[in-house]
Amino acid sequence: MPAPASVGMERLCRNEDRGAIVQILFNGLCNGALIALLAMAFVVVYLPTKVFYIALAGIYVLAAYLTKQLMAWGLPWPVAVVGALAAGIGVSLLCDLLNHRPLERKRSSMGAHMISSLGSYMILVQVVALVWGNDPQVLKTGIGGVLRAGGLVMAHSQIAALLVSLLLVAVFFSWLKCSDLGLRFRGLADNPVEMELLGYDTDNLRTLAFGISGFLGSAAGILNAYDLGFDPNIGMSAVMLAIVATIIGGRGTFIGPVIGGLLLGIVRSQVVWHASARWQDAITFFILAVFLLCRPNGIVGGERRLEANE
Amino acid sequence: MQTNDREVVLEAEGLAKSFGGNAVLTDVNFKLHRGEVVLLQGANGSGKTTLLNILTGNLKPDGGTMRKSATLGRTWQDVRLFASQTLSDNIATATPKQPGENPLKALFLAWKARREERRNAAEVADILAKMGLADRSAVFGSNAKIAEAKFVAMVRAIRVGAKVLFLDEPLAGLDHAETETVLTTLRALVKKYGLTLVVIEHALNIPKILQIATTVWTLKDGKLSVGTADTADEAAGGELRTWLKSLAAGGALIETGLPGGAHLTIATRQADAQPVLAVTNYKVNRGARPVIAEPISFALKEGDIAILEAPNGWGKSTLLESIAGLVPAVAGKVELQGEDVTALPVWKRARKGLRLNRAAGTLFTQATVQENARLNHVTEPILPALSSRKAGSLSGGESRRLSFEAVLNNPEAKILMLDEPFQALDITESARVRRSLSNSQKTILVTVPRGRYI
Amino acid sequence: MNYVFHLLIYFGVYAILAMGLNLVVGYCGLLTLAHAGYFAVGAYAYALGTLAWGMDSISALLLAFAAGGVLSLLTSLPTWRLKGDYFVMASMAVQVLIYSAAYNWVNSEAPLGSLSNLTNGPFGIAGVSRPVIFGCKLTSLGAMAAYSLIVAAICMGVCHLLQTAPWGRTLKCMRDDELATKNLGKNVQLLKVQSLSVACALAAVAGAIYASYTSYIDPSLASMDQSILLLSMIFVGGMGNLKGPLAGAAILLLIPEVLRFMNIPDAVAAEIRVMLYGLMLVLIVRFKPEGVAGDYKVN
Repeated sequence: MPAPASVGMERLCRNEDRGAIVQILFNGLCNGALIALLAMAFVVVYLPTKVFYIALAGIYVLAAYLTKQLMAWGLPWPVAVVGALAAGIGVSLLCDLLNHRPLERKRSSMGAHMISSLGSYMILVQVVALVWGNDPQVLKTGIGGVLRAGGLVMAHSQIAALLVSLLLVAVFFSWLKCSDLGLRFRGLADNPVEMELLGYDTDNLRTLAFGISGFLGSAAGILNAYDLGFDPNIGMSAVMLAIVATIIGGRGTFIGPVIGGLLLGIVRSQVVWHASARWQDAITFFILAVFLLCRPNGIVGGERRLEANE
Repeated sequence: MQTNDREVVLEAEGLAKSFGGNAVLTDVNFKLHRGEVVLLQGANGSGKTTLLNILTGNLKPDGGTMRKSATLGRTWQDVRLFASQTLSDNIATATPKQPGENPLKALFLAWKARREERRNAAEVADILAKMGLADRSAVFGSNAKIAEAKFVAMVRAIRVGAKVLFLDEPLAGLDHAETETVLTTLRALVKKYGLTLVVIEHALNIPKILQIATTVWTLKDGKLSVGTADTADEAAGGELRTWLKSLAAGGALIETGLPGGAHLTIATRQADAQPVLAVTNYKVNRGARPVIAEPISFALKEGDIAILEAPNGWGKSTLLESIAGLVPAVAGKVELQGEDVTALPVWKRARKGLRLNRAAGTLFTQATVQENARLNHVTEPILPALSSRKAGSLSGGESRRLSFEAVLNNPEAKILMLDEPFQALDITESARVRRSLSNSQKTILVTVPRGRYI
Repeated sequence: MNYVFHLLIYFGVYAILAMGLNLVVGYCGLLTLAHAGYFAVGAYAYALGTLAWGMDSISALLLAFAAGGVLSLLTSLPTWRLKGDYFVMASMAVQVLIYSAAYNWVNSEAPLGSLSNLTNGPFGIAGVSRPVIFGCKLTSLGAMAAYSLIVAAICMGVCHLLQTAPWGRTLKCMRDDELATKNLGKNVQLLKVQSLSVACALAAVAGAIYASYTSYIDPSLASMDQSILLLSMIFVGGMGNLKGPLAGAAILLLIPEVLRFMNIPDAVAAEIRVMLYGLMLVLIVRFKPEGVAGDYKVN
């Protein structure tokens, strides 16, 4: 699963002698921002519900295809984006309603939820492949504009990815900290049984989690599609990167995955620069292995607990 | 009973263990001699289970050493039979050094492995027959009755070849007849296999264990001392009863005995009060295991304060959790203000005013104290000095205080169920809790363990 | 008739895969996303053995078996420290690692099978020939089918012996309650290593049979999608006994046939098949967690 556009990125970078370090850092930051956004979408469901939301990969891809389709039907791009985001939220809510609510009622295990989500992912991706085919697509026509500042080359799509991601992250966190609903959401992530005992409608809070996740995941999918292009199968690798970012950053908090995502993006760009794009994934999962063994609670999570007892 | 002070089968020096800054064991030293039957006693939270986990290798101590010269075995408080295996397979699995356990031997020496397995099964059948369980040998672990499950668990541990057995509350949840059988069996097993026993038990069952115990160890303040047993202090129960009597309108208490050795005492505070919580013919299981096996019924009127005292293992927490909706009932119904809520999910029952305050894990550890109060709909400040501290960083005492104040001051909570609110409190704090409860006009149900509270 | 043989060959391959995965997921309770990786390991080992290293079919088959068994340590060693969803993620890492190795270990200037060009990368390996057993080359489909089914039967026999032995019983106990099993003095870590060894070795054998039939293999054999398909095969068929995995393999095989019968055009058949699988997964987990023919519920 090499990323095709990284080769272009390589060429772009090697042509700049001075400021190459800054360029690589910038590229890494932009890639990292997208990983962080998707990681946040993943953890928004994982923390309160402990569900491994693999179907997010399907929503990630669906949003890109819908945006392109809506634009092909003549809608201006802001409308198309809003339409795709709405659809992403809708599909996510459906997943909650059909997959996870009934399993939660039966108090099923994490494995059951994950397998169910896997099934939904398979359905979503095949639907996309059936309707739109398997060929790679792009959202932007041509190479797209760039902004130059000093020696730094910034593609418009990169800037969009960075700014929008950071904006969404900031909005989400201020909502978490400052609003009543955000507090209840944090409560659900912290102690779901107690939330039930206190009379909060936890079913609705969980649905809210899926809705937010659908929104963030669709946004990440559209931004990525705008920057690098898409095909029906990119969702799985994107979500895997998001999961790695979540573990590296710390899966017990909302901020951990964001930090993990940014770091991962920077590291991966360094690998592309110093070695080659082929080794990105191997290095990524090597880092994952190291963290799983030595610091499973991630950067933010603190020291490893002694003895995992029942 | 004879104490064979021959060899030392297990000894420990300076064992210590802390959990998150809370020192549970500080300096535990002992020498266990072959043939002893030790009663290990101590208040709730004194570290008995922690010590047991350290000695059986499930937990690493922070300091200290231990030395053993025999195989150790243990039984669990919640029995833990293998649910998918029959009773005879539960015991057969325990046999050590079976050739069939080595996959290569199972494949290439299949004849030999199967012959050994047949021999194993025959021995197990023999053991079960001697215990009178021959006809139950094909019952799956998940369907076993509690007494026979405890027998099988003990035999399973012995079958491993353990000469030192740690029994974690072996008598919990048994009725009188079953207790007698277990004690007789234990006596016979000790004699037959030359076992050394360390038994953890709670106050109510201590006199029974004393029938077979040779030594008594007491865990207090993180240290272990050898001495005499504390029998259940029935007189202490009087203090709570006196307090209740003082609250009751007319000074009369309603006392009901419940199956399994539990006792419910209700003080009605309001004249002409209406029933707000009614539990009728109620039975509860945890999974497949019956917890409240005989139907229970009781009713609380508005403003009542009630105390449910029951031995450990009776199912106080399970009952409260079930009334709150966390554990489904096998039979019976729950009515809140006359309305049948048995089919309602947890949060809907809570919206009708029912509140359960569990014994532990009630706080939102990542949120501040103030945010915890907000989530509990409490508007007045609780523990104002700590208001912006994260709840997870509070000490044990502060946490319990926060939890208690939150549930008491929650304006939406009309019927409170408090699970062991007096646990690990000293005299001043207990008095404070009693005062707060007296001042509250809500309907309150409190659980306490039988025989040991201030 | 040829077509029936074709189906039987695939049935043998899938059955072996399902039996191995049954051991890991149904008996050990470990959810793994790396199983397709070992299928690929076996396919590549067999292909390299016969094409680049001059081995005969049986030795190459044994090489595949050994490669799967040894590389299973990649998946079994993490179980020492990791449980539950952490382990799932570790298995994802192993899958990506194997796929990366298959995709990237290529050097167009070096010969196939040398140290710098072990897998020929995305170009794959073509021209894997049919097995030669006791001097006869299995050119006919009938002979291949017999070969596939016989190997599958042997694997089934092995699994049956292991599962009905005390070893299998201890595995089930470990799945029910790992701590209690540990306290009976059983080495649970060794048990996991052993069962993963067997399962991955079996997957590799399946890969070797597959390679010798289809004659062309490439890294897509080790993709995440394949691992997911394998997992869904045993969830739909059922786990924890002998017939569940077989039912799963049969269903995986028969669905495309049913689709063809319903005149669904081949162009969309592949997508519809995977979609049906996804739908079955969702429904099975919700309504019949023990699968079509299994014993064990993931709960």
